[in-house]
Amino acid sequence: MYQLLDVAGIPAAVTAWTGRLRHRTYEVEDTASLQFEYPERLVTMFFTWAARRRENRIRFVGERGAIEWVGGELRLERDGTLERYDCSAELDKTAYHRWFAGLFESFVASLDQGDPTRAAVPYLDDIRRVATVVEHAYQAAQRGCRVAIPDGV
Amino acid sequence: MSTPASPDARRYRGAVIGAGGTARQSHIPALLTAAGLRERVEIVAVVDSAADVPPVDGIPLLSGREQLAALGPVDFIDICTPTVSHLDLILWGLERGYHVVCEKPVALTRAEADRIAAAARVRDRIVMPCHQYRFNPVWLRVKDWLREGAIGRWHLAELGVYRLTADPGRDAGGTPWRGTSAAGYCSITGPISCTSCSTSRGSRLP
Repeated sequence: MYQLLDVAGIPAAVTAWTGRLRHRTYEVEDTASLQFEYPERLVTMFFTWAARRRENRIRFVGERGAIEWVGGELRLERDGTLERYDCSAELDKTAYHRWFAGLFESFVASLDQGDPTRAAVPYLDDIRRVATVVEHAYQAAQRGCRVAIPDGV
Repeated sequence: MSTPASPDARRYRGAVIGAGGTARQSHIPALLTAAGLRERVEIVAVVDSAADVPPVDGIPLLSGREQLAALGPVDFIDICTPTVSHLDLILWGLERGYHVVCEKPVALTRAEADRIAAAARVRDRIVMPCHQYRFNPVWLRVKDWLREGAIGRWHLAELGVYRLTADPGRDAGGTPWRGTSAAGYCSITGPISCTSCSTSRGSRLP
């Protein structure tokens, strides 16, 4: 969710569906389908624990091309030319701790500032932004209708 | 007990709360082995109340969070437990003057987020969400392309995460912990974390 918010900001409205498709013993849903509306943009997110195989897919479509991230491959199509990048090594589980190292280095840098209240502001804003969207998404799923996310909530 | 907030502190003492998969596979390896962290961070304990927790890289293992107080000054806690425990552990940590890093989702509602923010301000402490994908080089490349306008103005995005089952956790068998309401987890946020394998698998609440 935070990745979406990083590139698109908080959506204007959300529509959502959640349910159990396969795992009947789960106490929570195993699948969620979300649709986020922005001015002149639409984002869909689909999450499931009921798939036949493990897979991640990300696609951005723009006026001049598209970015696709499918499994370990990143593709950039722009102005009719397709570039492909094998990122499997960077996405292997053995590489995960490097991402966490970056995160903790950022945390240490924040501690080094010596002004925790000020350093915490972007993190607390981050936490609230995600919570805002998640809360509205669940409201949309429960009500079965489109839910607007007002500015500044 | 916490150390005084000071920009002069050169090495920070922290405790990892929860000894499940994400702690062992991602958090602790990063804290112990990353070149930029080894000299800056000392992990003084791992806290997990489960009876069968194996040792973690020679780090003292505590069965209860209150035992942390006996270890001397602690600057921060790193929460790697199931979502349902996050709010309680964050508020507990802040109450004791610890800075906090917490696995996602940190809060599921604005009310929870506001409680955390208020407590952090009162205690003058940092609460950082574990949003580690921001440090994933592939995602960073995607962001760069979008920012640079490589595809022009984008108008459509699709994100899909497909899994066969919820994370089984350390206690295999039965319903995976992510599939239980006790985990406090639902699919809107759950598989997002599965994507980054940043789950706290099977950790008991300390």
